[in-house]
Amino acid sequence: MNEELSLLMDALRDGTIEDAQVARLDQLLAEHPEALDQFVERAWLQSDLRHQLGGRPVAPALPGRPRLWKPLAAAAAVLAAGLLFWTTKSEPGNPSYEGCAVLTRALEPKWDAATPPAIGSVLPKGRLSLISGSIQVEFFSGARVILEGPADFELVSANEGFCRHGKLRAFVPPQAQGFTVRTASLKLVDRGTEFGLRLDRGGDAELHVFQGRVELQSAGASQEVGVGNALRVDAAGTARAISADPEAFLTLSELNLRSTEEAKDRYARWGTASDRLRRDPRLVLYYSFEDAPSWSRELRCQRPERSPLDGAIIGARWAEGRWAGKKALEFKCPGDRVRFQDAGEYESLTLMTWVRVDGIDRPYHGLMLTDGWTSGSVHWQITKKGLLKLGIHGDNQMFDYDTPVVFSPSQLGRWVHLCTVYDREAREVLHYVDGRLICRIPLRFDTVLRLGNVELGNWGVPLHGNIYEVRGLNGRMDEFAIFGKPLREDEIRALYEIGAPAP
Amino acid sequence: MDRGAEFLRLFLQNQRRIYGLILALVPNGPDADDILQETSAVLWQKFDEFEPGSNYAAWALRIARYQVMAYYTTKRRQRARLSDETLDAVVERLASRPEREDARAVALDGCLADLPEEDRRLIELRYRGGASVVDVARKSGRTVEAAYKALHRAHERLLQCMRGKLAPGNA
Repeated sequence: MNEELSLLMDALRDGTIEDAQVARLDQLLAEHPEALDQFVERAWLQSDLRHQLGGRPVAPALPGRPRLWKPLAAAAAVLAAGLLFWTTKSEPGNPSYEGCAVLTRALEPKWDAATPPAIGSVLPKGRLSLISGSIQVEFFSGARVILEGPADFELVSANEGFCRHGKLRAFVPPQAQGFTVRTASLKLVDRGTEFGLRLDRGGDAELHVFQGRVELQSAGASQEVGVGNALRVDAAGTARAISADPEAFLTLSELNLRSTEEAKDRYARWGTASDRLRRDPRLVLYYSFEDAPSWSRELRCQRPERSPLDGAIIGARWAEGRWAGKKALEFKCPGDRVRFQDAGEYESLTLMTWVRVDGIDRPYHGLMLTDGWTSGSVHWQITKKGLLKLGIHGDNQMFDYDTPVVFSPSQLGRWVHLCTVYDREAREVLHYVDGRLICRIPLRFDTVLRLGNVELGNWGVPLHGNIYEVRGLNGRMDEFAIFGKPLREDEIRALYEIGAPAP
Repeated sequence: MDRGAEFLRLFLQNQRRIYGLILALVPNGPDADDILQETSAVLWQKFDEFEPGSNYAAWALRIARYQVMAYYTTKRRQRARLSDETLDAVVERLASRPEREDARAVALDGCLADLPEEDRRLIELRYRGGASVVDVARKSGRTVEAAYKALHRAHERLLQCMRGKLAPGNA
């Protein structure tokens, strides 16, 4: 190798290179192909030598939000390769979510929040502010916490919370040992326990240990509190023993019992409203999913006599709906669908359903689609990005009336009320999610809507011969309605409220 | 294949080449490692844009090159720098080399073992200890000029040995 080139590369490495030398290096590389070869060869060698002799491993850290399970396999492979390397970003393009717990139960909760979390949803880091009522939070670590309002509790990580005030009972299985609850002045570290904490706004705290032990740290000192013991610690950190009172804290089974009773009430109230709804003259079609026995392959509509509006169930199985005992159809396999027929033509339509979307893993997830894609076609579906889409085909044009993202990964697996209004008179499309108007889009063109042969949960047109694109819903549906008129915002809000699985 | 696993496979197969580009353009110290980290992060973020089956090394080296240029701009460590054309040429040449990194590692192990004692000591000083040429001179009892020459000879021996071991037919 050219000695001059070697010297220039060394000087550059050492940071002692002068401007004139940089210019010389540039000239050598530009004018002499063999110098370029030597430069590249030496560059690669330097890297090899750093790797093999450098002592410290090169450790690229991939930034981004932590994901819990997937990187483990990848990281294990890398560790096996002898490299220090940790992936914390989700795979590009694949769905990811931020969270540390799941909200699994709620009993008459009144939230101090603009958008209260729904049951079944993933809870990200942050505050849970309850004015009243009780909730059950399951941390990803396995720890379960029942929080009784009024309470202000912050999720810090998958195994740690911060309590500003309120009453909580924590159940910590062995795999979540070390579960920590902090307050402004205390730190409770679980040592395999069930314990209760009551913290008033003034900072006075009570710790009750019902099982195992809790390590209590306050004012720099640490002590263990054993089973059956309780302590009252004032804001100044002075502790004195009191008697433990398990009755004072709601248990898992009590919460379950009470929320089950509440669910029964809600189910019954919805049933009454559903009976009223089926007599609504604006209805084209209504499926309550309730009338059929579980062996039935027919979905009866609101009409007493048989009609082509009764759905033929193909593939989809009966499953549990919003409440225990409520029937739903589950769409999982690519062939699952419900077919019906309607001969009407409509100026306006309102489509309404309760669905539990379990995955958005396909390009399109059909809610209700007319066969084909021609003049008057209506395609109501969810896209892979999680948008709710109303595709309308006019005489010579088509348009997708899309919402912003509705289904993020943390929204999956919970019951959602979807309602879309095509209002020809007001010349707009309105999308509602859980009774809330989320977007309003002006009509692009004028057309009459024709249903014809229609499918729920899929799309009924093969691409070639018998080859179908996979466009099925991945999830459950337990109520569906088509109105031949635009419903008003307050009516849609009321439909949501009477049907919401929990408050 | 899983995208994360695919990313790792490609990155690990090319990381020495990528680091080589950075080391050749950036002064010794923590900066080169920082740039490698940033580069790996960008590669990861943009991995969706990488077209499977195309030349990963070329794609990754271009991104590394931009990270180096961004470093030049922010740090202003170097008043003068190599021209864009030269950088392009370096990237292209480095990307077009066909050797596999694992084969290079095996070859280098053999070549280091065959290296004369004194050359090996110089290489160790420079790469294991991270010594500057001035430090190498002091520690090996040479003038700075002699140290440059001695380092050049040691590298030259290694490169010749590597060429022999990596030549087609010897793999």
